[in-house]
Amino acid sequence: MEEIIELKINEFENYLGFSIKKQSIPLELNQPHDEHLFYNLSIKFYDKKDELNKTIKKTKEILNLLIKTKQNKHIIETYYSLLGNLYYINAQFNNAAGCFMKCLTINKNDITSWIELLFTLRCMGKFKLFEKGIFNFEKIYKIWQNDSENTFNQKKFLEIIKQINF
Amino acid sequence: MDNIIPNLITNYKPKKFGKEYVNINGSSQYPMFISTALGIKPSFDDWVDVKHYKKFVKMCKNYNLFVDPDVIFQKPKSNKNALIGGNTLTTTYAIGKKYNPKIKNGKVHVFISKSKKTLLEAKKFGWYPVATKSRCINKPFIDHLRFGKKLGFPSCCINFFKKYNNWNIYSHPFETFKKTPKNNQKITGSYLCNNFLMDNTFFLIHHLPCSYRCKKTMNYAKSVEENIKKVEPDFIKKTKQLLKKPLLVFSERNFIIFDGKLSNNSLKYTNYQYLTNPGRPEETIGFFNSIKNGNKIEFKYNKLLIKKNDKITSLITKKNTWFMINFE
Repeated sequence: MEEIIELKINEFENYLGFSIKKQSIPLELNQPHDEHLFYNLSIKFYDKKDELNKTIKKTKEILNLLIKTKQNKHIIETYYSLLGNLYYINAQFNNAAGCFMKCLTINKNDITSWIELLFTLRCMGKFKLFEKGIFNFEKIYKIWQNDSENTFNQKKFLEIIKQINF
Repeated sequence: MDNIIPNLITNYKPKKFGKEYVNINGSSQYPMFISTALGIKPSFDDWVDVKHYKKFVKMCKNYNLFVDPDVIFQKPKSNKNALIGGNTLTTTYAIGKKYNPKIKNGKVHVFISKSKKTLLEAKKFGWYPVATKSRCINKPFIDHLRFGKKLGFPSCCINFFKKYNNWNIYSHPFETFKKTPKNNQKITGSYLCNNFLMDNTFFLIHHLPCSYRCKKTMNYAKSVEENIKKVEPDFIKKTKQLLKKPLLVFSERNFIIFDGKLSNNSLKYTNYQYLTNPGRPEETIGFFNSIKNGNKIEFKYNKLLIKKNDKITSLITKKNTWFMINFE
């Protein structure tokens, strides 16, 4: 099974033309978020609706296989991030938000997922939530990092935002 | 001693249309205001002093324009490189604050359109990487392309931007220059595609064209020119004069405009104005004084020669992305 997964990923990366990598960047590193994957996908899929829809389908297939075969968390997170980016490019912002929330459930220590989630909210027209998040970025990151719960969802997000004096 | 000569680019005082806009906000974005008010451009974004914001909204209403505030931009106190992500900034460097009418200093970033729906669509993708506490956060790259679409930029130019707006690899204006078709071995741009003066009052387009003779850009700019001419003919007269002046281009928003004549890699001049990119002071050239003291520039191989009465006064090693261009 491992070999089949590896083969499918290799085929998929060949089709995309670049490798699917996501660097986890904790806040404490004091670095900008990882824009590479989103940048490469934007270049490849801007204004290419059909190709984008096919790629979303392929990504979902691989992601399901990764979950089913209980692959390591980082690769599952990377594929959720990839799927979220693709949905974002396809202007399916609800789906994109869902993917970035999954990423935050899997990994509490990555600023990129937070930033991608916040911009998704902006694209949905939720400007107040976006601003609360972006102007209190360090705070929301730390609240979630220290939260005893493990599932990040819409309810949790609103709960975190409520804790901020703005 | 510096030569004392008047600037080529000044402010513009409208005779008829949009006087109130210029009174509040100056003339640097005046053509965008007119184009949007006349319904040629779907929307634009602008910066308004917080003290004048309410007056600005009221004035726009008189032109049937909606305004929506984004965030407040304030002058930074530290060097951009002290911020996380500061080295990724390309044009704008500012401290961002959530819009609050009680804030007494700074400029409100606003979106303006005749349609409320268009305005909100532009706002969704119109984030600037202002500093929020210790970091500057860039929006996803796709939003630059979407924002361009909402502002009415031609699709060919958005696609070109997608490929070449990587400041670490390309000089966008040089790529545009290379793509401009030659005529008798010479590259001459159309003034309709001259975007260099955007943010400096006298322009017809506010996007990076894919060629200095891009057909779609020319059609759009012609429509801007013709419509503005009906309401503010003096503005178009001055704009056309300036857009036809030769340029020496170093990089995006970093160039010298001349009163002079360019032919065969040789530019004779009597006046000049250097416009630099405030977001990238590191790109400012160090030999402008030599140009001020000369009256002719020549490109020879990889050298830039500055001459005074045909005598070489400076010899500069030229970057291969520097170019001189005429517009007709």
